[in-house]
Amino acid sequence: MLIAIILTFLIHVFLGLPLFLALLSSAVVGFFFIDPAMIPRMMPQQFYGGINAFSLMAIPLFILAGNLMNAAGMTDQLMRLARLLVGHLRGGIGHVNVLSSVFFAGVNGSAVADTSALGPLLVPAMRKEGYDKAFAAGLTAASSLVGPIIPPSIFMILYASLTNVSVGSLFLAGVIPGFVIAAAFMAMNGWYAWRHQLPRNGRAPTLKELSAAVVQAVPALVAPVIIVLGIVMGLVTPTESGGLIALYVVICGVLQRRLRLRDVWASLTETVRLTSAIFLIMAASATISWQLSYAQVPAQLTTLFTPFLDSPLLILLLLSLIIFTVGMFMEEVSALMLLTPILVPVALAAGIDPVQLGVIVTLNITIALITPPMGACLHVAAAVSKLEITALFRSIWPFVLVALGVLGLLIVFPPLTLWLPGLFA
Amino acid sequence: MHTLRECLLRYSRAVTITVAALLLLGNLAVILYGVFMRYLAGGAPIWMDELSRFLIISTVMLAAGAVWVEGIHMRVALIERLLPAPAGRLLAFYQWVLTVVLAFAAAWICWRYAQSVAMFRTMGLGISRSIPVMAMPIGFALLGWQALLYGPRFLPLQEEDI
Amino acid sequence: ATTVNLSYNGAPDPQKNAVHVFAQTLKELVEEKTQGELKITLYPNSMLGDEEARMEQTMAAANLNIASFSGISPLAPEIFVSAIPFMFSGFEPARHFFDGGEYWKALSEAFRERTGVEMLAVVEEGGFLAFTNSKKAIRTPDDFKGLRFRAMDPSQVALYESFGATGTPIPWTEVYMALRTGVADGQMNPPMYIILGSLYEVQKYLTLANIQYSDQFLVGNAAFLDSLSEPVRAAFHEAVREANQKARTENERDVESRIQYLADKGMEVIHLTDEERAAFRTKAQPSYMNWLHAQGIDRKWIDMALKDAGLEPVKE
Ligand code: NA
Ligand code: NA
Repeated sequence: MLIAIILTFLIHVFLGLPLFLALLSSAVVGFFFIDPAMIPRMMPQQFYGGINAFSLMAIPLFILAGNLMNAAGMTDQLMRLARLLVGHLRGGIGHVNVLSSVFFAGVNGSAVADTSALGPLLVPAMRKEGYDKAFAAGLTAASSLVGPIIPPSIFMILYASLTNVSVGSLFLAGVIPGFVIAAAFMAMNGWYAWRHQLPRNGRAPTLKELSAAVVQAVPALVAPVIIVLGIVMGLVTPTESGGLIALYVVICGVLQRRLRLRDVWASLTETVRLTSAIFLIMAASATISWQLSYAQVPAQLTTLFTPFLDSPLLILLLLSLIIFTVGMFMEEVSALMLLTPILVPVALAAGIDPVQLGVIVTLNITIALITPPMGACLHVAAAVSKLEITALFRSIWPFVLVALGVLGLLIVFPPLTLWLPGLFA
Repeated sequence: MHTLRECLLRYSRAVTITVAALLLLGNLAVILYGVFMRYLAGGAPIWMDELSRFLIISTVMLAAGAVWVEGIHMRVALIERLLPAPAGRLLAFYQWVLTVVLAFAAAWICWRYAQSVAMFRTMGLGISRSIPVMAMPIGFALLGWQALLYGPRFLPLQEEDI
Repeated sequence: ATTVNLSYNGAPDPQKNAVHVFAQTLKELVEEKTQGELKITLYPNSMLGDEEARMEQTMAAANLNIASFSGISPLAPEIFVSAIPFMFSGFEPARHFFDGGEYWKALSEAFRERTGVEMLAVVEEGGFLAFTNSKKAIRTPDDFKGLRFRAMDPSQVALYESFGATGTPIPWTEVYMALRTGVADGQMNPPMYIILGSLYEVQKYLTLANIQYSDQFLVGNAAFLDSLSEPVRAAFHEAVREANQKARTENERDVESRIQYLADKGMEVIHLTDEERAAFRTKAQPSYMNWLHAQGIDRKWIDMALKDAGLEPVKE
């Protein structure tokens, strides 16, 4: 059954069918192995159930908030601040790329949004400073990985809704790993700049310039603070914080006269399109997840892993390997939807902390966004930098290795993820 | 004939996206209302989370067809750029037929399903479960309808696919 | 041999999940008593879907399911009558109410007629609901004034409002954070859930008010059960009875040790006298009745239930 489902899915993806329809086709095939009489009830029920959860409502709201921030010019303000802070260093523009992603990550929950918002501005700027195009595109794609790790995060919301882990704890647990990844990519960029002896530009900012830029960027910087404080202190649920941010950005944008009604409407319709695309995949995956549960695949897998349950480290490495491999060939939301219910019980049986596991799984799936051949961020980065995709496939591997290194750190040192949530609990 | 079809398609797209965007706006309003009620009146209405879910599901389903026509649904459009024209036409035809068949079959099944859950009353709003579930048959029917209008040709490519 | 699926909520962990203990025992007893004629496959963790999905599955095909209140009430809102607050003084009256009462018999019949699903057993899941809060030792309804409580459904909101408190919906996964930060001051749950959610870390006072009996419901597709041969069906029902008996004994024993555990963790445990509990009842029941009426629930159900519980009908 599993093989038939996977084959149907792969064939239809290959034939260019939208993923949610490919998933639905394979769900139909799956039911022919279980009991075709179940189709009329179980397909609609699980399709509907897959998107009928309150925690998922945060996703459209965070997408909306991100769209509104772009429309209101807040993204530009954040980039200007980043430029002032690190632009004068050797390889400054590369550092700006990473730091902008960190700032942007504080409101934005998706890596693809990061690449497509910042890439068109930063790749040409990096070219001008003497960067190789393939490296520039690679750094842009790779640095956007912090988007789903630093809160808020669409992947984490999905993971939490599937596993009943607190979204607040997961968000907190992502903060330090997010900065570690950013630091790792900055180090890579620094090394590249030093090796190619890229010139330094400008000088360190004066206190006056710095404070001016900070003041200007305050409205944009306050947004992530609202999210993190609100969720961490339990004042609002993640869903509500998404709504509040959207409201906040609209108010700021209107007060600063950067946001017109037409922009708000355009942000709304854009959000509708992306939400529909993401949620339909989730809904269709849910029908297949149900079949796997029904066939007791997770339980069988746990039995398969039983000999290794004594070694959480080994289990985590195995899980990471599976997610990494599947992620190379599968779209990330559906991979997360399908793998989480199967793999998480195994890891929990090995005594791994659910929150640490959540961050590891999230980062693992996020890395899939920059692995060839299916990584969505790669495709966006190649498109916005007008680069042959195969060139990017070659230049991305060092970044993937660095990201995997950070993943290894998270596996080996639980405090990296668990210390911050523990502080608040 | 051709122009009528194009016209109908553009009209359906505009209407469904507009309605879906209004539903999303409604969802935002419901969630903000819930937050403010909790801090001002001490308690948020119990139906808030349910209404918000129903609104989003309706948004998702209503927009499905328009999003399909615009080629925004995630997919891998690798092979259709490599195939020679005749084989390509065959592939486009297969994509189209499968989409139309799946969509109308799903609409029919979901419609029957929506009838079958009529006796469940929802927790928060106390309405029949059929009402929110109807978003599915409507959405799939719209997808089928718009796919039918669009005809057997390749979907537009997103810049990500370039 | 026939195999039937039994789905339920919660982890397959006997330490933490009373419902799992029941399901596991039932599986063993059924297979033993029917000599393997009837086999049960367990689906814990709501693997086959949420409450409504599982109930639909039970209505449609040969399935067993342990439903919570939110699984039954969308089809039979009359079940809210069995949750009239402060109706039972302890385990014995509650068990008697369900095992031998007119109300429960009538409800089970109505449910079967409406849905084709048979009500097989009332399964205890962790004792009685108790109030916890972080502000003060609650002994009387007046102590509730101005507090903010987490509510799970509209009936709980009605209950809190009758004491002068407010109820606000918070999903279970966010309850700990909400209590720690004061989004809500308190909540109600059986001791088992207070331990599961580590709520003792963020709540100081535990009032054992026997608010509601905490139960779930074993249900099964009626057509399937009727299709079983007479000896198999008799053996099945006997197994259900025996398994439930065993689960209840263990549950009652565990409740005591759980309360002790909470006390050891530093919670102040408040036991109420019968008079004190009566004060809660007088205050809470009228507004709960109003809420039941607002739900369109026929008066006869309430009268029947109160009679079974040995209580006077409440005046409105
Ligand atoms: Na983020
Ligand atoms: Na970047």
